[in-house]
Amino acid sequence: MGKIYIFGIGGTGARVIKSLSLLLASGVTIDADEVVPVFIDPDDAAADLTRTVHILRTYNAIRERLNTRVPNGFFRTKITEFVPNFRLPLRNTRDMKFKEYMGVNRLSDANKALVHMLFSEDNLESSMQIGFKGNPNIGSVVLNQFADSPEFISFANSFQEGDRIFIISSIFGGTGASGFPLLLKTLRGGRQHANWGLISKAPIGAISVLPYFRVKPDPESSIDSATFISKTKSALAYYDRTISGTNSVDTLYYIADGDNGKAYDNCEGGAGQQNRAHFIELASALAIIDFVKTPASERTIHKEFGIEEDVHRITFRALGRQSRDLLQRPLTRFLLFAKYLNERHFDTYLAQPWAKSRKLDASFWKAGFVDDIRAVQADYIQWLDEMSGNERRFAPFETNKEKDIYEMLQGEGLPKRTRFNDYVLFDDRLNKQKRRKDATREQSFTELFQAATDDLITDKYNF
Amino acid sequence: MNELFATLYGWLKSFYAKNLDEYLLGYNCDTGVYDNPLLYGHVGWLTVGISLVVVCLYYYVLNHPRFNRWWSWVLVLIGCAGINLFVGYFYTVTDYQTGMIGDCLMFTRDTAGGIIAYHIHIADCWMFGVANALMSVLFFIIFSLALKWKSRNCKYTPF
Repeated sequence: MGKIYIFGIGGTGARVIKSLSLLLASGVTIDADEVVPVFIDPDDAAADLTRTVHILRTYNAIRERLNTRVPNGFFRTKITEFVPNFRLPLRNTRDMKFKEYMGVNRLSDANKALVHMLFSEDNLESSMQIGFKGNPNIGSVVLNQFADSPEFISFANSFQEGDRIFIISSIFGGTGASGFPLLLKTLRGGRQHANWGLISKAPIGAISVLPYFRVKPDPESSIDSATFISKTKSALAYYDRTISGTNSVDTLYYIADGDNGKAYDNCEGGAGQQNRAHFIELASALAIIDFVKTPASERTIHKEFGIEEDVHRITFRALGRQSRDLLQRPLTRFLLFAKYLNERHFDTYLAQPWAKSRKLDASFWKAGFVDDIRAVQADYIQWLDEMSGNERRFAPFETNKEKDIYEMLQGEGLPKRTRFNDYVLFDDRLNKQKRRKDATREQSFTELFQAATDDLITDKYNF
Repeated sequence: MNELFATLYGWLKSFYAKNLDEYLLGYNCDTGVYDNPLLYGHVGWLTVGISLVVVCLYYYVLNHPRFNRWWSWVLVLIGCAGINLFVGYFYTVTDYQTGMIGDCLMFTRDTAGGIIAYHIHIADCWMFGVANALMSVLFFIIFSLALKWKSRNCKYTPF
């Protein structure tokens, strides 16, 4: 196993990596020693990106205090912040119009005419501070610069034998659609970089996310859902020739969903662009997990994702066996953990043997470690809630506080009867766990909840 | 062991009549020596047994995450002491009412055989019950400290 470098391009890239980081927090396993996310997005203030970076940072703050040895443990996988804020910076895009970036005024008349043929007036007047607003023709010019950035050179220097690369992009927008082929071209053909020999032959996977949401019509906005399909078609034709046709990637994943009833607010970018999480982003994150297990291939392998039943509300039962085995236990376990910490105050469990034997006294609960875990869990619950409220719905849990917590799992029938119920049973299973004497309090705490929630799942459910 | 019980109960003999203590020590009015069975042993074993059962019920059968605070343990201890109070009372009052306690311990009689004074009263049986309850508290604490460590949910109760 080596590292997996994941390039997340544009808003979709950020949201897929957010899904991946929450999956890793829940203990979903990935066959890689380290996950190295790198975002490529000119939109400095993109809310989805900011939110994802915050989750990754908090994840790392938690993981720094753990030395996780438990298979499938919470926060087990190392996530490396290879570049500051996980971002490959794009220079000269802030407070600048596209025509200024291009230096149109300094061009000869002939070149000006060529520019006007390739770019509309709106394109040229467009500010690049919030991305390329669905215009891949702008992105294909601006994103050319990252290959020469010190951060990209540093990436090339650190690349080692056994490492892999994965690229996430959407095909129907601006940044992702233009960034993917450019990045791939740089990786496969950037002879000037150190380790070019390694990188050019390294296993590269990519997911191209086809339209899975739409935005509300807005005459003031340059983003129009009606153009998504036509943009997708032309980009697919281009990918077919230049990517699949040249076998530039080892595995190319395609994913889409036509069941996109609810439209998002039409926001071109910036702090307002905060789309609700969608199941497609979760399924796209699974592509990364699948890719690291897939052997390198001479010819591009194409993969798609499907569910067992074409239902509007997806529960674990509607997923294919492989996805279900991968997700059901860790997601349930982490939600149980989250509900325990969020719905009960630490005063109520200071008297419990599991807390006393591990010296998890008031000083531990107030030291910040648990707050960090709670923060990731709050994001996790919000992520689940957003997917549950989106269309199509991914709603394997019903988090109604009035019910016994074990009734939260949907589509699996009633939980098995046990002597205790609700949080009494939870405390009982926590008290049952043996303490590892050489573990730190933080380590001991996470391993404890890992083992107890595992027991609870075995005791209450049939999986 | 019976002698140990006699010693332990001896700490609390001021609670009840001296003659009840003598009876429980096995004094025989006919022979004038202590050759009757040492009843402190009987009642002591009974109290130990009851305390042990209650402790085991609390730590291993009830063994409940919501009843592992110190006050839950105190409530069980009070319940155990209450049971042993009645055990002590009934143990002695039965002998008292059936005339099992020797005449010389029960009464002072004049030369005509008339009772001049009663040395043991029903209240002494109650007070022995109280002493037995206190003794059970001691046993309950000892058993709690010895057995709590193997309890899943109450191993740190009462501390």
